Amino acid sequence: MEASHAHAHDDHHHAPTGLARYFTTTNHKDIGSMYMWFSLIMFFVGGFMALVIRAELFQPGIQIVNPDVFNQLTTIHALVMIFGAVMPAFVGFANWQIPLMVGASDMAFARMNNWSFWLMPPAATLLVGSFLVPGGAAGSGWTLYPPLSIQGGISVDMTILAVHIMGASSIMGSINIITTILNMRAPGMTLMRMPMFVWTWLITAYLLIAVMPVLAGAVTMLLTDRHFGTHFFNAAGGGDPTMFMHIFWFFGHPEVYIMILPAFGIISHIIPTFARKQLFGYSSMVYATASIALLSFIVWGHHMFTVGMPAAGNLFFMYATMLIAVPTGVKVFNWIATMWRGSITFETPMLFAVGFVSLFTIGGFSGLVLAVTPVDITLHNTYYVVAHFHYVLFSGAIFSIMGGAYYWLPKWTGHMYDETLGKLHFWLTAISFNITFFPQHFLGLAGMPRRIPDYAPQFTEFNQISSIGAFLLGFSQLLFLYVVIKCIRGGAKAEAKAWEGAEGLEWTVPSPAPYHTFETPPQFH
Amino acid sequence: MAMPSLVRAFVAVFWGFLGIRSDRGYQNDITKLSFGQVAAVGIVCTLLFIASLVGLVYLVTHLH
Repeated sequence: MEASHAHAHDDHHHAPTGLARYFTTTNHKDIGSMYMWFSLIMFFVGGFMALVIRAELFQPGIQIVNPDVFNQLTTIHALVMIFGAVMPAFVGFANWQIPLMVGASDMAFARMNNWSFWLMPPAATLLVGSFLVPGGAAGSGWTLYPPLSIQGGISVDMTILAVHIMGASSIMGSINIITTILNMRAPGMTLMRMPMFVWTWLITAYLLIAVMPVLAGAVTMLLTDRHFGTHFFNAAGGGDPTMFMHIFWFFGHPEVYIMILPAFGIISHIIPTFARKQLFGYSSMVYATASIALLSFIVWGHHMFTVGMPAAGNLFFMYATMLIAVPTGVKVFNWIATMWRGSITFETPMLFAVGFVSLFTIGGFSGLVLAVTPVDITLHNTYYVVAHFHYVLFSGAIFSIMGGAYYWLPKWTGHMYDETLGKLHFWLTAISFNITFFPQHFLGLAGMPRRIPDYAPQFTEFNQISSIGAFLLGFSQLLFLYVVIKCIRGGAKAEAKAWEGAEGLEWTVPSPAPYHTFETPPQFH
Repeated sequence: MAMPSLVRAFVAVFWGFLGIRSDRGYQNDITKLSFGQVAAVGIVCTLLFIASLVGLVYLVTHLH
């Protein structure tokens, strides 16, 4: 792949400097960096909450936080990690990489891009700040199920407002991404020649636009139930709490794919680079991504097998959920086939990618177990579910974010990161992740319920193992922060094409990528 | 005889649901099908897929 483009005026920009630069910037690279830093900060905030939860669960009984605060921590931990850490991190990648990958000079709506980002800090402040209001933060679980979310204090209103703001930000971000991809690709880059990360984000952006308004509608109905005398979900007034669950999960399940499709995209770049082979079955990957996205709309009921749906409903959602394993399996097969007989080297991004394929697959399998209605009725609301979704979201989404960050850090900073520390970070993360979450499968199978601060004594040992793993996992991430800062400040000079096997337009511009790139569209061959 | 493009779109979407596509089929798709055509057929196929699942569930719940 070759590209020709002009860089004569790369560093000629007349933007404000200092803090004002970041408030006023419309540059996709600045905004991408802000998203990444915001997400890393929220990752540590949410991680701190997780550590308080795990400290409390180190032994039976109530030691550190009372049950109310425990519920608030589980609720806000989830919301912070989903809306504050994982989603903004992928938007950060999108901002940095999509224009570079499709050969565009910036995002299509640069000012709206700035606004999309600057909506996030107020939303996060509302969410985290809600711990300080009378009654503490929302304790209903991240799903905001009524009646708890109707009965809660002002913190629930703050959470609803935060969700609205983050939803608006996501929708604007998605419009920007779709427009950029569909209208600003380099000449010669047809849809079916786009890099996989761009494809996965295009589909993710459509998912976001489809489901974010559904969530906004659901929480608005909650708000009117709370303050304006409606009874959508209030059983006392003739409302139906189960309806909230249906509406919420019609958003919630595609949301799971919103958090994993861009991860698939990142992994589809890392593996070919370090296996030094083309991605196996590019078109299959595109078709599988589209297929997963469509199927994600018809499986929401598997979150609700225990609410008393008719047998026909349970069966429908069981079959549909199991069928999603087919395109997902195709993807895992393709990644393995890409590695097959390649000249593989295991730099840190590749370690995270291989870790992703192995551990995400475990999460996928436990998902299939939970898809079986009678099994789910036993395992619903147990630690098995907690183990399952952490395998999908931590060793899935977050491993890909870490891998992607190491992969593109040379392009972003102009320096190679410290490979030894990167590998140490991977191994500490991978080992402690499994120490933390693998025993939770056993806890769940033995019947330990989730979102409970106290437990029966027979669960103690596995909880202690899990808590020790969690602290190791949490503190290992400080190493990542150190590696990133070290890489920004210096290190070996990165080439334009930082990795031998890397392909794509982003590797044709110098490292670090100049402030303005592709002012003249490159020719894509 | 050349396959009508509507049939070709259904074939492409069928393979898409499975997540597999042969290289030759894929090359044919990108030269002979438009994006809008595939998207429209994809939505129709999703509805058919839902209908077939509902049919299967109906059979399972009424066959005893």
